[in-house]
Amino acid sequence: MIDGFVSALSYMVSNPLSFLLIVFGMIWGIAFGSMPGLTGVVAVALLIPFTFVFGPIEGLLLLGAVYVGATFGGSIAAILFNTPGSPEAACTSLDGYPLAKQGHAGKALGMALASSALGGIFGTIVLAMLAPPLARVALTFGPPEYFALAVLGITAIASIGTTSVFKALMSGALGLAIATIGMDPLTGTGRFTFDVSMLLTGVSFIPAIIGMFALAEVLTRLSETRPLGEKITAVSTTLPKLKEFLALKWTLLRSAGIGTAIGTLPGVGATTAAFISYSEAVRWSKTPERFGKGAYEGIAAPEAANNGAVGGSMVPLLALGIPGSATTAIMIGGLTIHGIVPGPMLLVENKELVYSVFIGMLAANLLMIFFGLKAARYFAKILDAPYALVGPSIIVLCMTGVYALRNNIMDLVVMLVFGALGFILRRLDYPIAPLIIGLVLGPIAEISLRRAMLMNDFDIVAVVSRPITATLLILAFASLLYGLYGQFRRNAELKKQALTTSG
Amino acid sequence: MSKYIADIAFAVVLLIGSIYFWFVADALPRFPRYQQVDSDFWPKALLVLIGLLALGILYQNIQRLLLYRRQQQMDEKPVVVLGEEASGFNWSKFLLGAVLTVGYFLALRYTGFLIATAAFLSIAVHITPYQRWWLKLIFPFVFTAVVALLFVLVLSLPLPRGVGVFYQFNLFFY
Repeated sequence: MIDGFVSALSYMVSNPLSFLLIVFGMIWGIAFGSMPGLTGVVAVALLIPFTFVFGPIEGLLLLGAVYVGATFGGSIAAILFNTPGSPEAACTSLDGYPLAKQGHAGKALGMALASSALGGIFGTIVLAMLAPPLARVALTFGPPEYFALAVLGITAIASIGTTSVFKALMSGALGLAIATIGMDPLTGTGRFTFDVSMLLTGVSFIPAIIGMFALAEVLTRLSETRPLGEKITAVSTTLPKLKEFLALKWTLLRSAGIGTAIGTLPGVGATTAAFISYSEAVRWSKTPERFGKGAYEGIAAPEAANNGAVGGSMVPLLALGIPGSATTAIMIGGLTIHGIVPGPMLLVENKELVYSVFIGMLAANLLMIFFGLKAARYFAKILDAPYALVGPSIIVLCMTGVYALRNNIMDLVVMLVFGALGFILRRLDYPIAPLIIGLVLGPIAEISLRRAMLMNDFDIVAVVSRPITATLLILAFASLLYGLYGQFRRNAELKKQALTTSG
Repeated sequence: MSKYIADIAFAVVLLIGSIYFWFVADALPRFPRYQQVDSDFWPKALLVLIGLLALGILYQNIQRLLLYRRQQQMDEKPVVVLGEEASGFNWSKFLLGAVLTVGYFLALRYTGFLIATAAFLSIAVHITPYQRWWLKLIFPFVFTAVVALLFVLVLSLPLPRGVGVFYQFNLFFY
């Protein structure tokens, strides 16, 4: 492990561009995260074509720093405007905005910043400790285990934290189905190509995700009127005093731990982590009545958790090649541009890359404190930037970025088609993340299942009864049952409410 | 109510689509070596799943629609609230944005990056409610120039050059 760190560090020191990209990525991430409607996913998706210019290490450092920055950025708008810049910052506004209204905006931002950095560093350390041994275990995995992992990835994201399990599962299934377009990986037969030669290589992943996340998001946002809360101005970020910070040490550690653990579960992201750690902070607090009225613990808990989840979600990506969140699913696109297949072999074949990511994420979290302190007020000004200018500019970046990937105008058609699909799904409340994860996991799931069946003489029982496969499939089934139980409970409450109203 | 109808319509489209694509998958060539895990195996499994989920979504939405109608008939404030009622979504704005985006794509193809982007941004910022006229005037050209410089000089990435006379024009710049 130490030799991996040393070689990655020496590579980064000999390539100062790496550090410049981390700084740029973090600023870009904070800027996107702080603007409601422009999430970290959009920030990462937009930059993917540009990573083509750099080497894989620099590309992944850039994307990792964006991910770290965007997760903190959401808290700026949450605290100053009561409008979370990103979903994972929704909890932060519960106590951040009341504090800002009481005249403590600077201190609230400082607490969010310090907690985010602590959570992020905690998550990165866990990532560095957990990914290599997990990857070693994963090296023993065969096709049945990979199939089960892919199933778990889809069911987990479809079941937890969504309003409709059916819609989330449908979204995941659509992603898996779209991934079948193109040449069959086993027989070489063209499937669903309808004699369009462009489709033989399958649906281009990056144009699809940029269309679905960035283009659809911008068009939706341009057509909506979202009122911001009362704006708090004249802000200068003040870090909490060491004594104040230490007073929250248990809240911070517990939340960072919860966030990291939840982040490692495939599909369960920073938003769930933030909400769970907030409710845990309330449960463990000696003064729970202060929550919602301006408690610093109410900022520390979700911020430490959502940034901890960033490191956590990178664990399945780097160790298993399974995305832990929508953002990491998009990062897979950034790796495949350079011909790198994420998975356990990454730590064998591209040790330098993996350890550079660990160092880069640590650096991004530390740099975030400096930039957050000095520049939070400027990031707050981003919210003054009119969407009339920002929205069309993002459309230009989407178009030119996608075109630049392969110098192919047809990639723009793919982006527009997926932009339209993304818009329809969004309007009908279908979550987009399962579709993207399905698109990524589709080829893995298919080839693994078919190979497993061939290896076991088409005996499905032999495939699913292997110990790790069975455990993963049971977990997948349990996550599905959990999601369905939650949905039935919500529906029952709705019906009960309806019956009570109608007398 | 239109939300439920749209949901039902989309589920029907998915159901019909899954049946249609089942037949497309069924017509794929067979290879004796792969027997039960041929090219159609995985797509068919997914299409069955999509069909079943579409039926589930259909059932859920029909139930909700009936509940919503019952509440309306009883002249009461519906407990089932439609998302679109509160979102402040402006369809005409969206359609304008979508048409502009498709127009931008076509312009990129025929006129190249510089003309298409400057024109797209000029139109886009003028139709949105923003007061600073001078910024509206300058921004499209400045942003186009900055992106062109970034792509061509800094990142050495290609930009569309268009066709015919536009291609010749763009060759002067990149």
